[in-house]
Amino acid sequence: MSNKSDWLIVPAVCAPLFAAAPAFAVQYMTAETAQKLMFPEATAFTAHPVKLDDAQKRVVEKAARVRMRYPEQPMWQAMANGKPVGWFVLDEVYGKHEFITYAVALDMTGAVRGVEILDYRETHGSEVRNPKWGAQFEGKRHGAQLKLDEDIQNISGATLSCKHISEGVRRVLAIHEVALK
Amino acid sequence: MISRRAQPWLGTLVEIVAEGTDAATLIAASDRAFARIAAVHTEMCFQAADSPLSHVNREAQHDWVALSPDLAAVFAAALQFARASDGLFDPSVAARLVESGHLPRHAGFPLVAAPDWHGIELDGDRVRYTSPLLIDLSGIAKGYAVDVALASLRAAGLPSATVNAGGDLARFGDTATPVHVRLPHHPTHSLRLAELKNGAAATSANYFQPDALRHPRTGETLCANTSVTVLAGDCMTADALTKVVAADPALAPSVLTRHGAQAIVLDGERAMRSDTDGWHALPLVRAA
Repeated sequence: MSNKSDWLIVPAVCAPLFAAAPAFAVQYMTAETAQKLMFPEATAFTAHPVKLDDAQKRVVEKAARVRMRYPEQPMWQAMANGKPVGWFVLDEVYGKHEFITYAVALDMTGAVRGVEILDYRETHGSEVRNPKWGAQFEGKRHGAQLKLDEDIQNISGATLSCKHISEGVRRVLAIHEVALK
Repeated sequence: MISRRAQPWLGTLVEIVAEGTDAATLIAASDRAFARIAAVHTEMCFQAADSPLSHVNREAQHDWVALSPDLAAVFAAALQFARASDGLFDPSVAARLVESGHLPRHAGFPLVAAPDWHGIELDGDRVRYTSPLLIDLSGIAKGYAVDVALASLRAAGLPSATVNAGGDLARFGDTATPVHVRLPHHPTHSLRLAELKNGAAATSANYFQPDALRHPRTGETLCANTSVTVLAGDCMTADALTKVVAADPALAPSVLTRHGAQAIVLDGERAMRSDTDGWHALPLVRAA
């Protein structure tokens, strides 16, 4: 099953056990790039932010089984030659150590066409022992494109959380049900 | 140019990094790779009551059940790893995780008195269980999904690509790139562990879901405060062997050697590397 492979162990493990790499952060794409990727047929995107009233917010929270932090949700209607073809929803979720910005594409029936991660950031939180890493990280958090060979990539070991994204998509679907149908 | 995308699949974030000459080719290639991952996810999701795998778990104790090519391939590999490790890799351990509430018990699922992978009878593209069993393929399905996604990127003729499904990663290309692993006692920190050119790395740990790894024979929790990383030629092999190392570190080096693989175990104090003759400490320097 396995042929001769080209991996090798480097003595990099000599690196200090605590002076490990800075927090993991990747900007995958901008919202604009995601719009074009998820709706290649679209010719225009019309901003259509949704603001829920208290009653709608309660309905969404009950249906999605998650709390809504803000009653507003950034959304765009994707248009192809004047005809609506779907919704592009921008959302963010965060856990104890991670902050994820992502986009959900819905077709006109409200079915999920796709989910694309825009931005993934992990913080060390209270675990930062060396303030220098914190400084490195601060410079990157507002969207600076990370370079492939200088920054953390290829982490082998579970992603912090996918659970929050599942909850977020559930909330987006509930908002569509309440406010866009 | 390099394209980086990530989508939620397989209960984690799957990242595809691909190198190519134009954006349209890269998007089309990564779309196809994600579609392969989505297909494997849908086929092999234990958590979904209506997945083809859940259908097998309901029906295979009664009669032969037909399998898709992907399911048949992963069932065959699961049996092969169970045999090669004398049950240290055991896809029937899911019954214990159902008991402990880590996995759902769907309607129609049997009660499993004695989990035992020997009860799986595979005949080409059909399977049956000779006793009531619950099979979870997630111990290797993630690795399999990474391998088939990477194969589709290779078929697209790209010079290099990496697929990383929440820590199960594989890549091909001409230049070695570093692989990092999380510190088991500080999971938001990572350590540069190896350089990978063509091959795979998989890590098993309990950082974010305590007690999710269990010993197939004793049911005891594995990987408390440790992580196991296996480097191998393909990701499914690496994925399967992390469970073998976690279950029996003393026996693991011979199984690893037979598969052309190598393991690194990290805990809060030490790093150990497997070799044909056993385990060796890797030097670690504590920061001042």
